[in-house]
Formats: sequence, structure tokens, C-alpha cells
Amino acid sequence: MSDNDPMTINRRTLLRQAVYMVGGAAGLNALAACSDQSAEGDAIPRLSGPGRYFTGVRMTRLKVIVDTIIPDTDTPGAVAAGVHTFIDQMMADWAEPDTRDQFDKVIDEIDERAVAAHGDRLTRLPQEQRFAVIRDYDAEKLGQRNWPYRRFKDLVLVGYYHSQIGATEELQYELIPGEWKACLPLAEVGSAWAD
Amino acid sequence: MTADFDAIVVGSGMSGGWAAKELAERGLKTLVIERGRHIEHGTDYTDFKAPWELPNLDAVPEREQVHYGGRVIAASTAHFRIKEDDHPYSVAEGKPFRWFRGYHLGGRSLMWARQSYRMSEMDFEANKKDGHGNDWPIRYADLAPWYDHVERFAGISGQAEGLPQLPDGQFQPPMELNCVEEIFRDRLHETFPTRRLTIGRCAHLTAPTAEQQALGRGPCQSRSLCSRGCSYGAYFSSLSATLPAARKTGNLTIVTDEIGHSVVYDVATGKASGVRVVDAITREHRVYTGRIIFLCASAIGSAHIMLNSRSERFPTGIANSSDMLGRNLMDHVSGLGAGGYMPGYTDQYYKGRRPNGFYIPRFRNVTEDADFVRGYGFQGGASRGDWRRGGGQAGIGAALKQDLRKPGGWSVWLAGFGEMLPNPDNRVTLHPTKVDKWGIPLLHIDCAYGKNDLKMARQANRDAVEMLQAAGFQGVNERKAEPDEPGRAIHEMGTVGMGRDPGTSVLNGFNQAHDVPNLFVTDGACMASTACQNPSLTYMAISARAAHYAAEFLKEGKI
Repeated sequence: MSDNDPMTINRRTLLRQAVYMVGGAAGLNALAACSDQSAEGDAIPRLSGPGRYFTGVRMTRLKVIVDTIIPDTDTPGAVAAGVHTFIDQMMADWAEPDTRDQFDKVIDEIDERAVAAHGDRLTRLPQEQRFAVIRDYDAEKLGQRNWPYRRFKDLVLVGYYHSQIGATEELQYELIPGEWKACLPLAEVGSAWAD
Repeated sequence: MTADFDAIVVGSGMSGGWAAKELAERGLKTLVIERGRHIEHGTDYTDFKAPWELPNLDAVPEREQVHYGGRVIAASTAHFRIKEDDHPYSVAEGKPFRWFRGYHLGGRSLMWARQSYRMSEMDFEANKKDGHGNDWPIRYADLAPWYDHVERFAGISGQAEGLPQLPDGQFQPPMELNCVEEIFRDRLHETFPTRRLTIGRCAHLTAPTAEQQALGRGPCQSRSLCSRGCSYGAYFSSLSATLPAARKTGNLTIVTDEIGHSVVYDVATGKASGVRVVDAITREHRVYTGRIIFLCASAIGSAHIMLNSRSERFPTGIANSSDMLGRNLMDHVSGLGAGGYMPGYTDQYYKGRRPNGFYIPRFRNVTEDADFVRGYGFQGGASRGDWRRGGGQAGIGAALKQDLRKPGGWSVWLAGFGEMLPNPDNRVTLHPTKVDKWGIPLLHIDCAYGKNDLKMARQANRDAVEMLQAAGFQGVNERKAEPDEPGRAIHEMGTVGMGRDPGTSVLNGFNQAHDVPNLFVTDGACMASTACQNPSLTYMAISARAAHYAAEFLKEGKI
């Protein structure tokens, strides 16, 4: 399903097109504000601007998905670490067309599951329902050894755990350990090493 | 006519670096010719970048991966990898061969896994005893002092074990096994008393000598970023060790971006007079003259240059009166082994990234019989899982994060490296029609495993599975049923073999061409058999030894 498909043209894409016609960053800001006000409280994220590869609609979905897979807890999560931006950049700089299609499809499929289960777009669902949709999708696809989703999830994880936040706040990383200590109680080390 | 140089060394990798150092230290004006570009030790490395500082988290764009043979590689090491389409070769139909190359100053000494093992007396005797290949013209005693010499200079960390099949060396302090590796070792020794597990012997400084420090080398920092180059010079490479030492003599000249085309033969003197090169950038040809020539261009690379050195005297390649040039191409039988996981020990962990694993020396046809000749050793390692395990297991959200905050369970891998028998039908030749972009005929590789190699591979898998199961590992699986295609071990050897008989070998016991007394070949090409140990340390020792004798012969006016 492409973004030109009528199914995916929602209120925000229409608004975005309107903004483009008006033009400029000011318009986008206005749109973001509008999107926040008109949405269901804080559960609905701002509409992202288009990424370098993803459309604004998919960027928004992607942000919700990575936020759900690795949320803020006692440490910052995937969005704080910029994982959605990283994946967008990887689509632009690294991915071949087949890979891009796979990633588009994963993002759209999750959204379709939201519509099927709860009658609304993923980005418009309350957090608990989003979580349930993505949790079930994740379990199903990994159970089927679905390669596109496995690649997607791997990229979410590398994007997070190799970010500075993921590697040094969530886990531990030492560029120059200086020594090899072969046997240490885990309690003394603390958390897992990022590498 | 005066020669431009006393000695010319073609290739700057493991062997060429050693030849250059030893020749220059004996007062010879030495030229090193490197076909690839210059690499500056330190400046051209990427080893001070944290993961998040690497563009695209170190991924090479998918569309570019095809240039590297379709393998997923890290962007931070891609500058040590050739683009395959620039350097094609052909293989015989149905006989895949993977040829990894390192075309830059330092060659594959910047890309190696640094495992460093001596060959033993039984390895040098093997060809004679079972009749496969040419009898080595040297024995362990000939090489032992040169092993000592190169180990002291290069710096090899390891544990003495007193095993006849894996002689001890001049070791710096060993790295430690982690707790699950120790458990594996102890249980292995209980079940199989003659199968030993020891820490890998690796070319990393753990207690640098004054000589090593004077070259700017320091101790290993346990970063395991070796494949990006080591600015500490903690692992041995031509750039950290041999070339700087050669440079200190004032006798060294290095040219880069000049491709060894052929050795020039002077029919009047019966000797090699120099090396013809092609400028990699301008494609101009030029000839450097020298009194002795060392080919250290890698096993297949040195054979390539010799095959392309055609003259009236040597119409099929220089020093090829035996018709053995290009023959007996070998690699290690690789891709074998098994893996498994160890339940428990979840309260145990480690700190640092040890750039080394363990080693199980050969036991087949040493302490235990087999239905094949020769044998294999295993490299391996145990570690705890990291966050990457999350990609394949169901689960998201705070629970996923919490789970991945802890290290995963313990797993182990064993990778067998088996001795591939010499076979003259496994050979490299010049392609009859195709040439590369510098006009040099392409190399054609015709190489396949024999029956003994495949029999050995199956037993290596069985042994790996049995050892892991006996030690209490679970979920034990062999890696794959059949070995990888030859070349994958990146231990290619043979093609310009040593031997006693000029009728059946190209080089004598000093690595000197039987037919051309001032031509020496000291890289993997010279090997009369592969043994099962990682071969680089032997290339170092053989190169240093040959350089010593070449300098002596020159001084004595013999060549």
C-alpha cells in the first residue's frame, strides 16, 4: 500500500498537503500544534515531518513503533536516542529498494493491524492498545521467522543499543577497557556490556 | 651495471615486512614494492570511534556490499578490503575458490586474526611419512631459532603446554580463559585426557619489551577493535613493527601503488635482474633492478607474478623447469565445528573485550587414530549473549529493555581448521585470454578438496559435537555438514613449493629458486604442506631465515 492509496490518506496527510501549498516551516509548526490539539491527549504524537526517506505519515508511525518497542523507563528509550531518525537515515543512505519496501511494509502492516483490531490508526490508539498491537505482531512475525520484520527489529535494537544513550545510559560501554578481567561476578559489573 | 637496490621485496604484508626488516638490518639497500595504496599507521585507522560516532552505525550501504564479494562488512574496515570487481579472477567450473586479498601497505597483516602457532617436527615430517607432497627440505630444528627470533620481536602472548604437536615459544603472559572456558577445559581434560584446551596464542603485547616500546608499541587495551587497525601497535603488523624497524636502518625505500608485473630474468647471468611493475594509477611500466629479489606477494600473488615472468629460458614462468609453479594450491579445511550453550553460571561475567579465544591443538593422528591422514585443531570461545539476542526473540517494551539490560546465557563455538593435502592438480594458471585493467593476465584457480580432506571434515564435526556434549553444553549443533569452499580460511598456501628435488619443487631449503639463485619466495606460496596451525608465524620465521641466508650468500658472492 503506498501513501497515494486513498486508504492511507488521512486527515494529517491532507493537512500536510495543505501546508505544503502554503509552504514553509511555520506551516509545519502550525500543523504540529494543530495535530496535538486535535488529538486524543498526549497519547497521540505530533505528526513528524517527512524524513529523508519516509513520508511524514510513516515517520509518525515509525516513531510510535520504536517508542513502543523500547520506551522511556528509568532510562531514555528509542525516541530519545533518535532511533526513528536513524532508521530513516538508513533507508536513505544504506538500504536497497527491496529493503526499503520491506520496511515500508512492516510499518504499514502494523498500522493495518491497529485498524483491524481497534478500528483506528496506530498513531491514534491509546498506548495500551498500541502496545498490544505491536506485541502481538512481534510475537507472530518472529514465530514465523519473518525475515523483513526480523531485520526491522534488529535495526531498532542496533539503533538504540549503539546510540550513546543506549550504550552508556541503558547499558555500559568502554571504548578502551584497558584490561581483560576474565571472571567477575555479574553483580560487580552491573549491567550487560553494549559490546 | 649497478643495481638500483641490493634487495627488492615484492609485497609489504606478513612476509614482506619481515624480509624487508631482516635485509635492511643486514645493511642491504632494500626496496619494498606494494601494489596497493599507502596506509599511515594510526592516522588511517578508525579505532578511536565509539559505535555511535560511526556513520550509519558502521553499515556499508547494501548496494556497495556486492563489491566486497557480497559479504556484510563494517564501513570502518572497508578501506582494508578490495573491491572485487577491480580485481577479478576466474575459477574452474564447479570448483569455487574464495580469494581474499589485502591490497594496501601492510597487506593482510592488518586484517589477520593474529593467532600464532608453531609448526612441529611431525608437521615437517608428514609429507615424507605418508607420501603426500614433497618432503620439506627443512625440519623443525632449522626453523626453531627463527621462531624464537620472530616471537621475541613480534610479541606472542600464550601459555606453554609442553605438547609435541604444538611447540611452545617465547611467550608474553597469556590472556585468561573466562569461567565457562575453564569449566570446558577441565571437563574436556577429564573425558579426553589427551585433548588439551589452552588460551589462544596471539600476536598481542601483554608485557611489551623495551625493543617493542622503542617502536612505539604498547600493551593490548582489550578493545577488540583490531580489524580497524591498532593505534597502540599492540598487535603485530607490518605497520606497527617490521616496517618501522626496517625504516630505522636508513636502508628502506617503499613504493606504493605499483603492481608487481613480473621478475626480469637476465639470460647472460642466469639470475633475476629486477622487477617490472605497473603503476596502478598511470599504468606506466618501469623496472627496478636489484641483486636479490624476494617475492612476498601472498601465496597466489607470488605465483601469479612468476607465471607472468615468461622468457625464452622460462616460457611457462620463471624458475619453472619442474612444471611445479602454480601447483599444490592448498588452504585449511574450514567451516567445521559446532556450537552450544551452557546453562547456569549467570552470576559470572567479565570486563573488557579479549581479542582472542582458546585453542584445542590437534589430537587426531597424534594421540588418537583416524581413518584419514593428518589432523585438525579447533579455535573457539565462550561468551555471554548481548542485546543482539533481542532481535530474534519475541517481546517488546519495558520487559524487553529490562531483559536485555542483563547479559544473556553462555554460549560456545568451536571452529576446526584441518590440514589439506598437497595435490598438484590443485593449481593456479594464467587465464589464456582475459587480462585485468593493468593488462596483466587474470589468474585462473582450479582447486577442490580431496577425499582425505572431506573425510577429515566429517570427523572434525563429530569430534566438536562430542567434546561439547561431554562438557555439558546443550543444544549442540555442528556448524554445517560440509566444509567451506577452499580459500575461505584465508590460509592459502603452496603454488611455489619448497622441496629437495629441483625436478619436483620450485624452491630449495633456503626458499631460493632452484633455477634462479637470487630469487627467493618466502610467503605462503613456499609451503610444502599446510599443517593445521594458523600459518602466519611460520611465514614470519621462514622469511626471516631466508633473508638471513640470502644476505649471507650475497656477502659470500654466491649469488
